[in-house]
Amino acid sequence: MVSEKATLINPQGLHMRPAGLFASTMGKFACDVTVVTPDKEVNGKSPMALMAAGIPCGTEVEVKCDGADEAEALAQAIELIKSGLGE
Amino acid sequence: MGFFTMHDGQRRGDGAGPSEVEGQSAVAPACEFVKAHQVISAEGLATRDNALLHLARVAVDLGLATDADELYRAFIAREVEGDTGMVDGFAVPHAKSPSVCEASVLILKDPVGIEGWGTMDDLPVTVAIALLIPEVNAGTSHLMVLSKVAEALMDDAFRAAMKAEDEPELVAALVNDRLA
Repeated sequence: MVSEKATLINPQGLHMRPAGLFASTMGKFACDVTVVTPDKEVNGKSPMALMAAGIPCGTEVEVKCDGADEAEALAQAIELIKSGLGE
Repeated sequence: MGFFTMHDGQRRGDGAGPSEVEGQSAVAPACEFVKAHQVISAEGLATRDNALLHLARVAVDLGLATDADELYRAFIAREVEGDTGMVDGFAVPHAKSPSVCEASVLILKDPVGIEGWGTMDDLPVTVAIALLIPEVNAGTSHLMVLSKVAEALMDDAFRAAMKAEDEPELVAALVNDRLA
């Protein structure tokens, strides 16, 4: 299992569009992906769970990946977050 | 005014609801945020775009927005950015537009099913929970609403109840309970 922290920079937080992008990207990997916030842990492959978490801008999250392609998944997850998840 | 906050703690004045909260901008318990007349039944809208146009027109009829065409374009623009279709027959279209007078939620039910909404499970949409967001109302309040709606949609019982219930007052109550 590998993990890394990154801060959400999307001005409106992890709303539907960035949540969907993150989930669909992580869905391509075989490993388990978990997003950890100060309040909860959510399935990083579930757009609904990510949206329900209501993660606001400025939140430092930890992404955990566990499985065969965990390193690649983690790298892509962190890159997505740091680049603003398409926004 | 935030999506669910009351300016200076004053309650929206329709004579109903909890007492005022003084001295602070409080998140409304939302016990009546969605009113019965904001629950719309239709049949045979057939396509996402028809449904969004219908929602835009109803929003103007209810005084929630001033320009149906502008609101419709805002809904479509959001869909172009990414489908708002979810799972199990639900969609969460939303539009931020200067034509929106006040932050509000419209519920559209079409038991026939609406195609073309890009749902995650490819099922047609039978319940659309539409969010209308004023141009000036950006940021965390929008996120909070979507968060609560998404959380509700993860509940099998909520989804089943929303699909089964036809009485507007009861549909509104189901949503209000989740937005509280």
